[in-house]
Amino acid sequence: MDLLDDSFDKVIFDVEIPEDSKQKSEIQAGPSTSSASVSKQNEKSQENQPEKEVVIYVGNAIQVNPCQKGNPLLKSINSIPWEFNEKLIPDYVVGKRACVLFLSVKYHQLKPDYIHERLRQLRKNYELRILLVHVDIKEPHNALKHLTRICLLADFTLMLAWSYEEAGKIIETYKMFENASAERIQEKQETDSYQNVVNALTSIKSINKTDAMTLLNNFGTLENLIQASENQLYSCVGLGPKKAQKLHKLLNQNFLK
Amino acid sequence: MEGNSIEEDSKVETNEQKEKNIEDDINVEEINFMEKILEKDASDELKCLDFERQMFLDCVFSDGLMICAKGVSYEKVIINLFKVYLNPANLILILNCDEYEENYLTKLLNSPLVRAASTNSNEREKIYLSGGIQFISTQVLVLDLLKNKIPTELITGIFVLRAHQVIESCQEAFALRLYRQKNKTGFIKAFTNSAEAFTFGYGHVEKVMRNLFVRELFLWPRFHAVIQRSLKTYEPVSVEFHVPLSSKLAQIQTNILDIMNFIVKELKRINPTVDLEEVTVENCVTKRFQKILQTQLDSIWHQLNAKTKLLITDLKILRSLMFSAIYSDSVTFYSTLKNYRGAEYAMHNSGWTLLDAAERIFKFSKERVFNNQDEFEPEPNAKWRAVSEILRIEIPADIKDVISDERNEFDKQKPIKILILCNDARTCYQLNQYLTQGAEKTLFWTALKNEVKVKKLSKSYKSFNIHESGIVKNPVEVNNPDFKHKPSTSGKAVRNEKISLKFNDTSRKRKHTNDETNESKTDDNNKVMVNDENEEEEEYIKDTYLLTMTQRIDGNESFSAADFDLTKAENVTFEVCDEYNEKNPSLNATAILSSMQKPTVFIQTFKSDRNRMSSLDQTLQDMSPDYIILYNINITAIRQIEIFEARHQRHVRRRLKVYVIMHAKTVEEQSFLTALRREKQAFELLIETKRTMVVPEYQDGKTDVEIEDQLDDEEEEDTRNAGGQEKALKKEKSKVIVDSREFRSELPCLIHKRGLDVIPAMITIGDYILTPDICVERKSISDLIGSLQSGRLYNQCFQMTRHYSMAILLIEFDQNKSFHLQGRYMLSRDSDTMNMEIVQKIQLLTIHFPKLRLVWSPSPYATAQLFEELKLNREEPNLEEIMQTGTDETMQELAVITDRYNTNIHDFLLKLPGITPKNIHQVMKKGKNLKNLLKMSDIDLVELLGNIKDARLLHNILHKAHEANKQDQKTIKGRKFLKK
Repeated sequence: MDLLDDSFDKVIFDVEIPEDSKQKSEIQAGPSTSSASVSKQNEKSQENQPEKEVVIYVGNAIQVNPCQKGNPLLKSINSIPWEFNEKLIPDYVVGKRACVLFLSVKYHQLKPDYIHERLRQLRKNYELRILLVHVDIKEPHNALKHLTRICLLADFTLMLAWSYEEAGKIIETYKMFENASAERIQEKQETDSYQNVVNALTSIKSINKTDAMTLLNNFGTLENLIQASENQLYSCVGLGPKKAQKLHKLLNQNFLK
Repeated sequence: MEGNSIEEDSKVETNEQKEKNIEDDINVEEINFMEKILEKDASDELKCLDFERQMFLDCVFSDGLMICAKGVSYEKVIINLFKVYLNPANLILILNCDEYEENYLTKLLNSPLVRAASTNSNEREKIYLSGGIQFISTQVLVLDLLKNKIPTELITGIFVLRAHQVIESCQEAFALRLYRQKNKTGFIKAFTNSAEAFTFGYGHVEKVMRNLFVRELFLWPRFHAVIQRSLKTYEPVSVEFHVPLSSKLAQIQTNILDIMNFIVKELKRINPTVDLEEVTVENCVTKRFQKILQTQLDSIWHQLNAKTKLLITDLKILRSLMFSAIYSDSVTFYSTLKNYRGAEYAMHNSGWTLLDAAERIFKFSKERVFNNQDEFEPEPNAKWRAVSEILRIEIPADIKDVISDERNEFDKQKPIKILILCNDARTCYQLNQYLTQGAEKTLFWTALKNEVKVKKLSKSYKSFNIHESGIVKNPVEVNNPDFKHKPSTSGKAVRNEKISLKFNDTSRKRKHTNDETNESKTDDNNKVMVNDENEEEEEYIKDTYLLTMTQRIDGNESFSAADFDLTKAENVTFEVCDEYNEKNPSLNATAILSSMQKPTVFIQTFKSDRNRMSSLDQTLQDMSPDYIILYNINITAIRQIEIFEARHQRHVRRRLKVYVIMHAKTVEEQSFLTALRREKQAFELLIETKRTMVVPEYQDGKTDVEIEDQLDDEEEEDTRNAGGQEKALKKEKSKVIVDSREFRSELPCLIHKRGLDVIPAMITIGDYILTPDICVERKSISDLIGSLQSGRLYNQCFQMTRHYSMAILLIEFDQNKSFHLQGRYMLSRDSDTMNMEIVQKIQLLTIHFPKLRLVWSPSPYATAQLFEELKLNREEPNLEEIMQTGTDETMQELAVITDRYNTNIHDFLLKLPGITPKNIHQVMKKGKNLKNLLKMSDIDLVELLGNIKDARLLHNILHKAHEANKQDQKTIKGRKFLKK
């Protein structure tokens, strides 16, 4: 297994990320003869019909490559319509510029060249290229390591799923979020002043949210809190002597060293 | 394969043994020399005990890890070791030392060669070269070692304190490895007081020893024969008082335990996969519970669901309630409990307040404060009576015994000194109040302070006259000649009554008045009371109190101990010693104690963080008390007292007498026993481990075997196969630039182990820079969830993708958890929706950053390997260029911040609305400090901040009261219990 992997690695390392179709022909096939011949065949077929690789994007449905027929993950795509599309090069198209290739680790171990070819066919037509890997063996680390390297070198984003349902959900979500804004993962600008003060206080080591709230309830304003003596701080329920000391020290510290 | 290597080892070992025999001969001389040092020590200070001498000899000649029982201090050993090495030709480093120890040791050795390492890196470089014993923080040392600022080959040795914390891939381990790589001769000696820490995890002690590069393990449990022998002969006399809880308190205790039990079960039900074995009701009431929770939950905190977090918070609340019930008084407990009764609290807890048991707790706690007529009649603390009994009856009786027995020897001029030890400063304060003012007044006071509504007073409290308005909190005491003491339930009440009669005037300094106070004096006394109170407010809670015992016979105070009629000690009052006051720091308690002519009572906590006279050892030595009252029970304190006594080797009659006050059959006793048992078990485990442990010869890292090789053992096979390749690479010395803040994680250490050069730097974008194009942001699962929720990750990815062509988000799983299960990020059951949400958020991130590469790493080891492979045949990163990258905050600015500003306050200020990264420099430079900012007017602020909007925001946030809006309170889910 190791031997096979190593040779495969070399293939990958030799592959430069194709910038456009002209560079494509310069790609060196690896030492593994079988893979070399297959890839040559591929190149030929692609050279014959280079114009076919237009981005396929049809409305609100997930476009599915017919080769995915029978893939159990399709069963768990149920809240968004999907349809087969003969012209597809990737396995799934989930947005204007987003596509997904599906791979199971088990299959990858049997046919390590498969994914390599698929990546090659895909070229640069999609901005977001996802390799969705179904982790279905017990010790996936070695295989995943190689897949990670492939993804880094070939501009793919690696997503892992531990079951078909999860994989299906991931594809569905990509379609769903096609036009979603990043609001959900962006920093929320806090407008509530109470929350602001709490956040400021919790930025102090050893002060947690509860402490911050207790302090504010006891002292009312930040002003009172800053003016408070160490003993007054300590008299708050939940503040130990260490915390009180630290807080007092910090609040009375000079800004400059 | 392995068998062979072991055989080889043993051969080597036999050779080594021969050498050792020869060495031993030489060592005899050395031992004599060492003995001399010990004896020299004995002359100017207290002698070393047998076991301390043994401990010293154990570790002076060999590198090792020494694990001592709590209270069996290795301090003496360290001091003697320091004396051995105290020489400018030696460079000794001490790691993991806390501030107090540092001060203590520095003071004790009193040599210019013992010092803390400088905070300025250039100065530090010079000081290293001048040798001596230096205290240093590990993080600083790692950076210095990596930057070659410290002459590694010249280090004589390193002491590691708190060695149980040294796990693989932590800072200390990294520092020691860097040290061992270049220095094969220096020593490493490690010490710890925590045997229990070694019970967590598999093979912990072996791992720690491997990381420390030591081959010897020295165990010093309390049951060690040498310790037993040293301490047994000079055991202090001890008397145990078993004070039963009042029936109501006992009921409260049972009910709290019931609820805890319920919560623990619930926790385990919701989190079947999380290892919660250590979370039991028994452990909940021990002191270590916080630590147990931390070790088990901290790394997975974000992976627990809200319900679990609530349960844990509640468990902690109940725990504190339990302590409050048992250690504080009835009024305090009642008022604390009231906080949890409100509707607001009911909205965000796990629902324990709705249980029947909770209802019973509320009921009983009320009954303890109010009698059946709803009158204020709080139950005094059960232990109080015991304390006053000991102070007023037991001790005087004992003194009488001593006098009658050996009249000639007894030094009448020497005042009696009594030390009371208790858990915390609150108890200290409470005891002080009780002794100076009496039970009734203390409780009444507490009630007023905690705003417990008192409508009616029971008969015994009629003496206190409250202002009708109820707003004025000052209880003005009217000196009432008919002062009637509340009839107590116990037989001892008669005596109590007599004593408390004297309490109607507690004014300090002033001459005591008789029971029959003149009416005319009332006004004066009222004033005094008010003054007292203000003072009290100021010096609210302290760790230590010094009281003097004064006895009045017919209105005359007697001062000298000789006149002090011991037989009439029942009529004793306690006064706060005026001279001992925190306000004059120049006055040392020790000095006062020695000059004090009156019998004194000194109240102190076991451990103190704030006081000058902190350690109990120190107090014992300075004060040399005649009697000790252990108000609470503590293993460390008991052992410290034992050792103190053993050191003095006094005749049985002259020894300390220790009174232990304990609530029998309560959580107090239980937690004490649990702590004892846990420590014993830990030591037994360690002894067994030591017996079977195989320590390879090369573990000390002093041989030529490459350190990397020995550590490679744990790694997967394929790394070995690639060994040849690696070696070739090492010559080129590829480098990785690592953010200095990342040194808290394990990865830099592991990267270094793989032979890559680690270059620490303050970088603003990403955590690791592998090549000029590759930038990596590392996130543990817990961090990933946290930063996805806070939005920090979005910003980080934005910066990375903007400046690097290959931005990598590294998602690092925990190596100890199966990678398999980790598809479920959340570990708690019934959180599938949360799981989905996290995957969705990651997906959203990839949609917005299509160029961001995700790497899923099963462990830091795999990550380090991946890094190495990614760097193959690629350009090295250029540090200068990287320093240039980054937007507003350039490297220089960061350096300015850390160099010139106090960073903590900088971070705090930045969080305040109105203060922005743009104006922060102005604020830091011209604002002086927070109090100064408060004084500034709107106009001043405008000038400082540069615009009106920010100034208004800041002014508003500083001076106005901010209320939480209701909705927010509800949504506040559990909290992270320990910040990193």
